[in-house]
Amino acid sequence: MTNRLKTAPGHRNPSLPGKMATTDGCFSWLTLRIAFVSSCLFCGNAVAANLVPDPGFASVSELGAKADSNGWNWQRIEEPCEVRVDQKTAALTGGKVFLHSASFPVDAGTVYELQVDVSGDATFSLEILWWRADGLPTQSHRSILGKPNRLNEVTRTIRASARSPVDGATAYIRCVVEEGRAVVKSPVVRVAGGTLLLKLDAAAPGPQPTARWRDLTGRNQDLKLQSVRHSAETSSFVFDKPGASCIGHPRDAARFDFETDQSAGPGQGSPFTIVLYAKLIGRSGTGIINKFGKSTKGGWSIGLVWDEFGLDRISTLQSSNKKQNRTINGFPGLAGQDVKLGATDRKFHMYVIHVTGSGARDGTVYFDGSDKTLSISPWPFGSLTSGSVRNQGPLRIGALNRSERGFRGEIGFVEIWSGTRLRDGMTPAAYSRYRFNRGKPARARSE
Amino acid sequence: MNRIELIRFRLTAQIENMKLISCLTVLVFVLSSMARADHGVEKSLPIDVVRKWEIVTGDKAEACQKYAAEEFQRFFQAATKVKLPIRQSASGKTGNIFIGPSDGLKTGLLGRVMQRKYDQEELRIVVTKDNVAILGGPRGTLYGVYTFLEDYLGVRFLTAEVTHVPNVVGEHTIPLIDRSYKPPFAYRFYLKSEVMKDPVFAVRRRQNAAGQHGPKEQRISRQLGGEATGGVFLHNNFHLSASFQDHPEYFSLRDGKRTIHQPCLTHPEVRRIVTGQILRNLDNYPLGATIPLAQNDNGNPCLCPRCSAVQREGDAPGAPGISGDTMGGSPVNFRNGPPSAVVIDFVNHVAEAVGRKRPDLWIGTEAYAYSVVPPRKTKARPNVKVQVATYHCSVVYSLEDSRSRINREFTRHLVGWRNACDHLLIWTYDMNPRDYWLPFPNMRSQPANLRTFVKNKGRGIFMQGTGENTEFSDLRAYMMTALIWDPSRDADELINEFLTLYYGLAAKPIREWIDLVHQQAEASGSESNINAPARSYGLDAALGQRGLKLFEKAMRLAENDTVRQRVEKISVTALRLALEPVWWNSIEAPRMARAFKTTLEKQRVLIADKDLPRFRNLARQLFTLGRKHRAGQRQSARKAVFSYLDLPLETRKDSTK
Repeated sequence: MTNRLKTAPGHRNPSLPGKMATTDGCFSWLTLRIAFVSSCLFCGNAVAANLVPDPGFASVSELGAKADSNGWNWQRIEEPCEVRVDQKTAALTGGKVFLHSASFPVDAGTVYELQVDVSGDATFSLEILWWRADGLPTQSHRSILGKPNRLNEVTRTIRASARSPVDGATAYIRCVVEEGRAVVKSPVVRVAGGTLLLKLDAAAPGPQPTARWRDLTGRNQDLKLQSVRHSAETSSFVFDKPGASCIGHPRDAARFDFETDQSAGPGQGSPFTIVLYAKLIGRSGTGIINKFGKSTKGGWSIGLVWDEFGLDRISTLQSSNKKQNRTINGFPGLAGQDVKLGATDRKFHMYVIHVTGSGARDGTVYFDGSDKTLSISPWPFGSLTSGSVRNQGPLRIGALNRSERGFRGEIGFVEIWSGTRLRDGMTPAAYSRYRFNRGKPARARSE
Repeated sequence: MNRIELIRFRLTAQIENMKLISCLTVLVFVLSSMARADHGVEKSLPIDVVRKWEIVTGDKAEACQKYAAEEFQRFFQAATKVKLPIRQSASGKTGNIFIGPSDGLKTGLLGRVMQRKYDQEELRIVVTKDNVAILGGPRGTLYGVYTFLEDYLGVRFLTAEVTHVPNVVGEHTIPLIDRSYKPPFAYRFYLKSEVMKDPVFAVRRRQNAAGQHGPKEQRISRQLGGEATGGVFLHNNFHLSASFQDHPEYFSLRDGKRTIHQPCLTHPEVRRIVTGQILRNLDNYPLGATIPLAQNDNGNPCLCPRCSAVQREGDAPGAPGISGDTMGGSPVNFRNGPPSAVVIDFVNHVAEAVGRKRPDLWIGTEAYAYSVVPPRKTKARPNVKVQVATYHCSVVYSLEDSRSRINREFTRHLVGWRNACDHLLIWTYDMNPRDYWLPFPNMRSQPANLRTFVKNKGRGIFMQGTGENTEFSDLRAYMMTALIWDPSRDADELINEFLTLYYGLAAKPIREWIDLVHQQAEASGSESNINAPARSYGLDAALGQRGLKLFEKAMRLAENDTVRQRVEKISVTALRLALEPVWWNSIEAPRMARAFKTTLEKQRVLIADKDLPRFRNLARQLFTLGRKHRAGQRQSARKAVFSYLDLPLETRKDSTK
């Protein structure tokens, strides 16, 4: 799980709207109870509902023979322990005492943001514990959202995020109070929205469509075109020459380094999603969207393949700097497997490709607006990516170098999202349906 | 089969020379004599008649029944010099030794014996003037063959290497009988290298279980009858997979703090996790298997308010807890009643869930340390087995001996468990884990204990023994397996039988040594459990010296070098005891000083300088013999003793003189 603890009074996290900091560290709520989603001012994300049952501490009791399924229960770890409730706050005193929320459903492999207001003189930490659908602990069971911190009487908002394990189905949060008193208020857990890192649309290529392709998010410099031509007629860029590619600016390269659990730690890898509207016009080899440095370095690649057997598939590859350490997946199949995607009809299709960040043999791909993932065929040989996939290379769409004849086809639009969710908190599956729009995906307009 | 040692039975000479003759062996000959006297009315079957018969097994016989026939053939030949043929069908109505059920038996003169079913371990032996039938359940048939060989031919399976087979002569007869036997303990496992190292021998000693995690070659194959299941529950933290680091709240609250020692068995998530884990794996358990759910090996159960409430078994807070002796457990554990109430409540919870999906399975748990005191009201579900451990019992006196307060207490607990659970198993001990060379004075109490277990509906025995070649290893392997198979056997007879057949003329002083040790221990009034130093059993160096003299005599009486080696091996027990003051000062006193936070000087005993040369000589002999007879690695003990006596550690000149 990602453990990003932010305990900065007066600092505002744009991804957690709803709270405004004041200079003395006190906060006021703008929107705490939001029915489901609303748009985020800064990043186009959404604020999902608070998943914590009973955030106002209406029901708090010491754990008995059966846990309160709606309220909170506290448990003595080191006596003396006491928990009192007053005006929607819970005051915990230890020794050492745990306060657990009731459990709530979570989606697997999804980033959640946590937030709680806390003051007092105890040492405080916040944890989230993940459970499988059958009620047993998940493989990566406990996310510690930062080291225990000594509190003071000034209320501070603790914010953190964590990614649920791939086998996670439910969770509860745990407030840990040691050696003193802590007053806890307004706990929030919600799905973290995704961040749109890159948006390219050939319908709005920018002012120099023969040389550059504009990033519509404004985050990145325009991508440089190499042996690629623009087709205004089909609102696409055509990749039909050796070395045809769009190359990102080196300064933007780090934005697209999505680390895996294998090097970042369990649950700490970065999930991302690529949305691609493209058509194949002939045999295509390796990746269509790539982030690689030198050949001996690590990186990742998304491939749209039309192979010598006439088979087509989406492939995902993550590799550390040891060549034998690679995670390769095929949707729906890998080389030699007689399954077809249906992308060789020389028409545009939309692909939503979600890479979980685990570095393991997983991920999902949604084709032409379907919300059902294509079947996955993990490459069974070799070892999984074991080191970092970070590299110095720029983002490249199309061929990996000047001479390679990689992707052969046309691209209408490309989006790259970080996180487990996309626009308005949609899952990749929901976004696939939304973005495809029954075969008429919305296109950008030229200024 | 391993080497068979054919020993000529020199009955007359032995009766003249010593009184320690095996009563069972005598019985065989007495019966033979009686049979001869009544020959006219045909109350026995002359062996000369049987020499012309055939062994018959069914063509559908199970592997172990075929093996039973081979065992019969092998030992009958060794005793009579006649190899009987083994056939799959009877060639006539008479002259058959039927081993296991068969069509020939069913349609023959003894067909009535197949009119009922036999339990797995039940045996039946029928001897008529025309036929013999040995049958029963699959294992029972094999056991029936061994019983026949022992009781009617005088064969004795002494050790894995030595089998006593008498020379059965022409006048020998077999009584006409129809007898059945079903062992009271359905699960029989003596954890002892001498037994386990050779499954063939283990089965001849009627053992039906082996170490589940032991070497493959020690497992009891199907040919040997296979293994009984569901007998031993080892400490397994109740299968709780959650870590203390992630979930301290799942573990015991003691003195106001969570500790890792035991799970909190009333925590709803602990129950959910353990139950969930087991339910997920139910398909992996074979029919009738037992799922062990057992506490860790320490005395620290959870004492949280929730557990305390369950411990009270419905009584109000403040109601009197358990008073009196709690078998070594800390009194604080019993303030609210017996902690076993919590264990059984938890185990019942899991057993109920398991029973709904797999009614054939069992849940097994331990009554050990703090949980040995039974619940006052809580009953174990019918699909729960409880394994009661005798760890805290006095070893010198039997469980029902009025001289032992602790054992009387335990017996009350055993009765309590009998009432709280339908299926009891016993974990008992045949060793001192502290010192494998020290004489262990339980040969008088243990046989009676086994009968107490039977009386209290114990259905299985796990007896934990010492390492190989220690103390009276060979004797214990013989004696204890015989008693586990049939607790009604006379232990004295078994001891005498083994000593006579294994040590020959040297048996008498060895028997004297065994008696001396037990007499002195009993006279001491010792209530010590299995884990105690010599002095706690009333054993001292003076007794060791007397033992050395007896072993000197035994060595002189030994008839050959083989027997001398055997005698020398067990003389370690006397040597070890004769060295007691040094052993105490070098090994036990430091332990005591640590435990009681005192000085070494306060714990040590005075040893006069003039005695040191004698002790040095004894120490050299002891460790040299220990090494020679592979009686366990005692490097740390040797180092401590040699250091204390200022003996060079690296010497290779130790002698056995």
